Amino acid sequence: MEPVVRLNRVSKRFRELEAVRELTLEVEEGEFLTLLGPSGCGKTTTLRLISGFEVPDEGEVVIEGQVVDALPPFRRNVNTVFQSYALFPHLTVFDNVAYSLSIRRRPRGEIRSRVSDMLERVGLADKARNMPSELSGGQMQRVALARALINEPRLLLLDEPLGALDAKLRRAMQLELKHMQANLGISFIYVTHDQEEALVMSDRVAVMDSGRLQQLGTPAEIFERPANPFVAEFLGTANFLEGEIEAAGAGRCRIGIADGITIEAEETPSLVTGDQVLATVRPQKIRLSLDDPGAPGAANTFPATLKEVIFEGVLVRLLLESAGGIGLEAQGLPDALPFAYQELVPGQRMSVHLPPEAVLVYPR
Amino acid sequence: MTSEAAVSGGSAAKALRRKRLALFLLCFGPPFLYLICFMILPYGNVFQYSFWKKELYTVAAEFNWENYARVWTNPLYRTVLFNSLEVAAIVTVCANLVGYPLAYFLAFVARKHRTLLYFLVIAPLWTSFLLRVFVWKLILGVDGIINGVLIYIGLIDEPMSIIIYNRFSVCLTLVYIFIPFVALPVYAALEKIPREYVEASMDLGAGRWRTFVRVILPLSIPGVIAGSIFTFCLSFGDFVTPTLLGGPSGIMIGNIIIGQFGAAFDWPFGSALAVVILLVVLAMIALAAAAEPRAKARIA
Amino acid sequence: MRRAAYRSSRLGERALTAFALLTFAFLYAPIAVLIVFSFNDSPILVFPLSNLSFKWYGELFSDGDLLRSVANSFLVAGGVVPLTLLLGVPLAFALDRFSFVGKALFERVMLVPLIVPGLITGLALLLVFTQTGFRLSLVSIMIGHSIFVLPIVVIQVYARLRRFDRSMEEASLDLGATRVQTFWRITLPNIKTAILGSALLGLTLSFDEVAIAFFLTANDNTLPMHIWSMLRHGITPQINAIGTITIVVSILLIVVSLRLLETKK
Repeated sequence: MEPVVRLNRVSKRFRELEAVRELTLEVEEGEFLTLLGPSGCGKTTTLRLISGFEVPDEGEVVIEGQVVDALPPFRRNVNTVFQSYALFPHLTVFDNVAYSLSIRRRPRGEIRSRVSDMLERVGLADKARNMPSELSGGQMQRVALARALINEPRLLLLDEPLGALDAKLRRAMQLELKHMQANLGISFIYVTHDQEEALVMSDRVAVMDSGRLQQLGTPAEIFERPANPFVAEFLGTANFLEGEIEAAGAGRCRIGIADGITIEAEETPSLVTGDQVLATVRPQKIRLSLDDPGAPGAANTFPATLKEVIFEGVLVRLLLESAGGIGLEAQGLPDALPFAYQELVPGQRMSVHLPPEAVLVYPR
Repeated sequence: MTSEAAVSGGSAAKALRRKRLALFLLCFGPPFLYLICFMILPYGNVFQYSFWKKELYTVAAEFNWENYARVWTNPLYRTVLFNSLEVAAIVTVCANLVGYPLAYFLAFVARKHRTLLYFLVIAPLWTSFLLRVFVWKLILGVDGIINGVLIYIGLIDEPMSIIIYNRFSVCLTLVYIFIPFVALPVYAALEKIPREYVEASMDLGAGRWRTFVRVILPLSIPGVIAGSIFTFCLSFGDFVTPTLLGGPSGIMIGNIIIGQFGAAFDWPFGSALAVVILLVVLAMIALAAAAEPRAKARIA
Repeated sequence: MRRAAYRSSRLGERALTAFALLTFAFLYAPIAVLIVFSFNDSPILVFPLSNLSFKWYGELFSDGDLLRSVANSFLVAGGVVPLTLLLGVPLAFALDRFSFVGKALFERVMLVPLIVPGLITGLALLLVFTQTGFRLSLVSIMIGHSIFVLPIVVIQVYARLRRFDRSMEEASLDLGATRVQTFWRITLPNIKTAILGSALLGLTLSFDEVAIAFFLTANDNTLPMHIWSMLRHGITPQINAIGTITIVVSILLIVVSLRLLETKK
């Protein structure tokens, strides 16, 4: 089936800045796709290329099988929820939502019933006569959503729509948006810099950096198997160990880190003995025990000194330093640790174990 | 639409740029041309005209410096020129002395009715210049209200004539006119000062006076400069006030100019005097442009 | 801990308040004098005042020259306002939406007529008009006034446009409105009060202007020019009456326009 949107090697530059570079991306019917990345990574520009506020320098944007590069925003059957909501301050909530119907000169009766239905749906039926300035942040958010959905677009673009809300409301709205998308059956392209938000809501996530697509995959894929160190770091990996491949074969490889510490990991086919690599491991995957092994012993196990214990309520973070000055961070739920974290003393020696299946290796 | 949509990305971007250029020319072109025709060219033309020569009933387009030589060598014109500069300087200083505290009051002391008081300060700025100058004739005149009151209560027997038709009456009236011109930009500058700066200064142990001198005053300098430029330039080139209230000792350069365009009918000489005013205005703008970054640098 | 709020000392505050009150008195007493004198019965202005009278106001309406000058002033201001709006609103738009070489310089030069004394602007235009054979009329005064009203319109509308959140226009385009529809339905309603406010300001300023008109008047006097010529024949009580009306109406218009230009915070 024809994808709802297809970007075909799209590039966009602003003077010296290459905002989007040769981006190719498809969004399927009914899919929730998130563009994730730090600010300035090109995710908002990508959204604006689809909505028509920017025109690509190279490549093409195809919406429902039609090349739309020459079409202005008002001729594209795509709607946007803006970061600042962009509600019209001189119009009531009702007139804001009715705006696109009135532009299209729909009959009054139709406008009234469709707008009322939509306001009912977002739970703002009683606010129809209010001005936007009289609404709370969450209510404005809903009006912006209702206004964008009134035309029943097949694709909705959302530019950090929850950015202005507080943490609690944000979480509630995340689920609400996801359910709404599932019920409507339309495609969402959602822009955010919040990795947790992306993981919670999306069917697929496109991670972007410096205008390039870094990885495209399901939340589980990008979290468990980041394609490169950037994605790994952006999705919360804190531990990066520089080393060299000492041996590789039979699905395994051995990496030498400083001072005799070696790590075994699953083999990466493209890497051979002698390659300089970066080994990463998530803080949650590190296993600790209190007995001091003295010297690096069995594969992936080595001693370290505890530097700091940070209690975050749900989590405990332990900052460690092993031989050669390698810093490591481990995390765990307080109850799941094999020891009582309250009894830990900075300076004490511990044994660190990195499970081979948790170690990911990238060329450096 | 299909043919339009078939355009590839690059040329669509070009088409959009062309459209934007057209929109820009449509919006900017007419006012730009208008300003060229009725502002830039006329101002420039005054320079050219000032080097021409008056003949009996016509003007000869022969380049010469005579008009400027006359401004400088003729003691009458030179006196008037310096008198005008002095009046403008006195008025600028006095308008600041009154207008600054007024602005300060509005920004830091007035809490209730601040909007109303603000309106009261700027309303005169926009109301008839001529009438507000004329009123001072009613106040200072021989039959005016001051003399009337003083005679009525028996302080004097004969009306005083020293309070009108001299430099004093001109300065007083101009200060009256230009107080709002200073108060408005100073107030705007004072209002923009983040209250945290002031509080931080007090928090760090500076007293009220030192907070004012070290924090508030430097931050309000741009407002003072803006107000002073308006006041100096506009009072320097005014002819309404000296005509109505000046008398022989209050003559200013504006009087001479309108004389040249009226009875004397020496337009080139009048233009040379106008150029003197224009040069003073440009010098003030240049001075302010030089002073403002320095004031800002001191703050930063 | 409560931080020290910056307040002047009690004494300083009282002194400032007293000073400010005196200044307000200084600013408004002369206007009050004008108003009081305009109701004075006596034909010569002598203190103390004689009886209250409306006769000077009555005389205004039988003074043909005066009425004609008022009509002329309305004609001039009535031309200046649409002219400066037609030029100024698109110009403000261009300054807000486009960057171009020399923009900063242009923004400064545009303001020069506000600092240059009116007589310079007036005589500069007079020279050009006579050299090109353009006959002086109300139209020449209109052009003269437009030169200093235009920057005022541009400043006000430009300031409002800069505060206007442009994503509202994008939202409108996104919802299917064309650029023209977006301008009329979204942009214009949001800058409407700035346009109206600056139009009223322009109206009052043009109506009261004398220095430029002094050079560009042919036979048809504007009201300030008529007053100017009346003043040459000495002070008459009619001037007080017409002056009172002008000032009171101006102040009312100013208050309305300031209200319109004010931005809600």
